[in-house]
Amino acid sequence: MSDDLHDVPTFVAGGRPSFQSAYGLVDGSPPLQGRRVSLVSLTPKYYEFLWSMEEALGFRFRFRGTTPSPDAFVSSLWDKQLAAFVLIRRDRSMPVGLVSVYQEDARNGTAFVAVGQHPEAAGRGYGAEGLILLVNYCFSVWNFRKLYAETNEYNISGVSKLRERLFVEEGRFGSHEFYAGRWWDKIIFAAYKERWNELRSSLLRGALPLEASR
Amino acid sequence: MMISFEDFSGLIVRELETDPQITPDTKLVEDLELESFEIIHLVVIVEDLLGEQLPDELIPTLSTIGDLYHHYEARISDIGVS
Repeated sequence: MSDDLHDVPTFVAGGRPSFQSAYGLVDGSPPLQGRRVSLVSLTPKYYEFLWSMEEALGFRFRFRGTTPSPDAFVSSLWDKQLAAFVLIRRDRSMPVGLVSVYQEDARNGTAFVAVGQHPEAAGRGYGAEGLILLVNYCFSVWNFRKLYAETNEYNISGVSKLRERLFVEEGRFGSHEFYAGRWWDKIIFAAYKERWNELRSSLLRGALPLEASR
Repeated sequence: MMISFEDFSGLIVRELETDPQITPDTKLVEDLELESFEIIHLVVIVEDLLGEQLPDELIPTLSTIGDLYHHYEARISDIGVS
C-alpha cells in the first residue's frame, strides 16, 4: 500500500474547511454537524448500540416486532441503503440514533428516509435535528425530486409538527399492521424538493451550531 | 440587553403563532400542546438571544414558559448582560 494513502486529511465532523481545501468541495456542501447531534457514517463499532436501540424499541423501528439473527441484523443495516449515519450526541460524544436514506429510485428521483432514536434520548430534539440534516444532505448530494418517509399510526413522535410543515401525506394503507391488539394504518409521507427549498433556511437555522446559524 | 417577560412572551407568541394569553405558568405541553420539535424551537430562540447553547439535559425538564424565561434570565445574569 502506498504511503500516500496515509496522508489523506482526517475528516472530522465540523472540520469542513480543511476537508474542503484538500478535496476541493464547493461552498454549500451539506453540513453533517448540527447544534446537538452530528451525523457520523455507520461503521461496525456502532452495531452493538444499534442492537440495543432496536431492543429498547421492541424491535419495531425496522423489524416490526421480529428479532433478527445477528447476521440478518447487520445485513439489514446495509441492504438497499444509499447512506446511513449514526446520530451522535455532541455534548457527550455518544450515539443516540440512526438516520438513513434507502431504496433510491434514480429514474424517478425518489428515495426513502428514516430516523430511529433510542428512547432514552427522546425529548431533546435529536431526531428532528437529525432528520433536517439528513433531508438537507439528500437534496444537496443527489438530485432527488422528493423523499418519502414511511410510518405507522402508532408511531407517535414529537416531530409530527415538523412532518406537517415539510411532508405531505401521499398514501395510506388502511388497517395495515397489527400491533398491541389492534390494526393500524401505514402512512407514506413525501417531502418535495420545492417545499424543502422554501423551508431550508428556517429549519437549518435551528439545527446548525450557533456560530454557523448566524 | 435583557428582555422583559412581556417581550419574551410576545416573541414566543409570534414564533409559535399561539395563544397570546401566555403567562409564566403556561405549560408547554398541557396548555400549549407543544411537541418536542416546537419546544426545541423555543430553546433555539433562547439560545439565539443568549448567543450560547443551553445544556441538552435542561430540555426535558422545561415544563412552563416561566421555566424557559427563568433560564434565560439566570444565564443573562451569569454572563453579565443587563
